[in-house]
Amino acid sequence: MDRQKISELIDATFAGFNAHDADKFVAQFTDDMRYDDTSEGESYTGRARFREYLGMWIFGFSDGKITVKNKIIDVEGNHAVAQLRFEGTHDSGQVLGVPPTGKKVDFEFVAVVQVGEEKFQSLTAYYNVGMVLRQIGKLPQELPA
Amino acid sequence: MSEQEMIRLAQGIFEAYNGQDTQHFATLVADDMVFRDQALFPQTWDGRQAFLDLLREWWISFPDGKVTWKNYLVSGESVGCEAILEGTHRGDFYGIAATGKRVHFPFLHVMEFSDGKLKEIRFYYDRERVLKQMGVIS
Repeated sequence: MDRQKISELIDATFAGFNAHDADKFVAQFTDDMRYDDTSEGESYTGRARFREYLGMWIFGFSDGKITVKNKIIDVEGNHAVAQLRFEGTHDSGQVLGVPPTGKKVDFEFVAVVQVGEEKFQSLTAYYNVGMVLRQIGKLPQELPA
Repeated sequence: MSEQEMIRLAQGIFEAYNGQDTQHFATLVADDMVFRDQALFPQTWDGRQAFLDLLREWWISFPDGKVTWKNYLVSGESVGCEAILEGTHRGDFYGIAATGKRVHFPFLHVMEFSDGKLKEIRFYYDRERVLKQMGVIS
């Protein structure tokens, strides 16, 4: 896959998120894709399982959006890093076990994607879940960040 | 810079971290480099000296801390490095007194280069995971 196509696929993935359309988001991944969450230490295999996990993020914030700030696209290695910013109001669903709080959430994270012939084969996310928990009030503010 | 030069420089950064070699570090980074700890977004450390001071704090926190490089991606003047840091919490870590606990966590550095020097690092990791491993939160 060439650089332009990989870039378009990244944009389409997060456009799906911003449209709150989980099917559009996961459509950019193979059926047997793998998701690695370095924060939770969890791995999920399969697009259906990934879609289920994503629901919390896509539907938990009525105005949730992800901005693609930068992309490092390594065509030779068939992988890419997307530098991302999430912003949203936690008002429409349970997130990380917490019912809607009305709190604003804003954090930066990265997604590493492995590129297959037509779609992404995997996504690895690096983010500070503690920042999210602090912003929605599940962790005390006075704890060291 | 060529991709190979950037990869060598990125490797040099991790080697200098593992060797706690500030002199080596000082030769690799630009005077005006910026370090961004994305787990503490939007906090930044501006300038080489501030970065070296921060590194010394991490070496006090984890005197046996070692970074293991897993994977890298290169494009333009950017390198993305997936790696793991492990070490023993032997000294103050952002106000948390030594616990003696082992920590082991994956992270990703986005490194930007210019004129043969490191200009910026964005450090992405889960701080909550580190605090859990220290036993500070459950």
